[in-house]
Amino acid sequence: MTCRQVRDYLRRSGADIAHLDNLPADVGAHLRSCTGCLSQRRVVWLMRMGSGSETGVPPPGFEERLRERLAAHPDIVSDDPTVSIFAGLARPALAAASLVLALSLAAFLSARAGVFSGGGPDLSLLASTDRHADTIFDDWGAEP
Amino acid sequence: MPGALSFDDLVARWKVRVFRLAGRFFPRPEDAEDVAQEVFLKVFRSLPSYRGDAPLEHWILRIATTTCQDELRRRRRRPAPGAPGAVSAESLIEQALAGKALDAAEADAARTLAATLLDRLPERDRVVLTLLDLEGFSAAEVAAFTGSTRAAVKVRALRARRALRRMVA
Repeated sequence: MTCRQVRDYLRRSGADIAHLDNLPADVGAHLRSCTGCLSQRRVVWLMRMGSGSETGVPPPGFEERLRERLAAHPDIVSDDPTVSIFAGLARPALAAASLVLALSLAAFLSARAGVFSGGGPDLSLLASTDRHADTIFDDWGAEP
Repeated sequence: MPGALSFDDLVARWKVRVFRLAGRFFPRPEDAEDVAQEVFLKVFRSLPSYRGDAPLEHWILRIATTTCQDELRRRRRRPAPGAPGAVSAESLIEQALAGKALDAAEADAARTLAATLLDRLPERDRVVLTLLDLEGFSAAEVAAFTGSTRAAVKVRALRARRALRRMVA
């Protein structure tokens, strides 16, 4: 095993790293021969010993006590603070923008369908006007 | 707002994550709860300014990280009474790492010693090391939570690990 693999193991495994004999044979063998990784084991062990447990859960009544504290802070609007479901996504702003774009496209296509079927207002003049007023379209249309 | 998270949803979804992180720095459950609640107060206070340009998890964990760091700094100015001397129990660490089984009192002493050593680290170094080595976040994620860069996080972690090694060399 490489030093990087052993150090990743020490960080992520959650194993009892105080006892070399309890570790996988290749990890134990590496640690016995590598002073750098042995030293890193000491650091991770210290971090674990000196920090709280990773399995802690909030004690019962956490929400009620939080509500009481919120009530004592009138500057915080606590009635029903909400946040969009998009916030949980990796690129929330992009997701929201995509939805708006999709809805706009759907509305545009519906309007165009109305034009071609003759069942809606005639937007061709408006579209034509937009085209000629938009310098980007003009550039696209220019021949090299 | 359809599809929105309410107060209850927000707390239910994030309370374990926030409490666990606070518990890493403040092992007494009542201390961890106090800090976790402070985090949610800040979240609710800042929610109107959340622009959605970062995932909500990163935004909340950034507030949690800053709150823990501030609390560590505040407590450092007011050291806990009766904190044991670091050197007195140092041999316990050697014994534990040599594979010796510690009894309950020895294990308590070793935990207290380890906590005392961690308290000697600068708050920001300790936060970075905890997020990397105990919580398993990547350097890029830690950079996002601490408002730093990936390179700075790596340098800080390297420095903190060296400092810890020196303390127990």
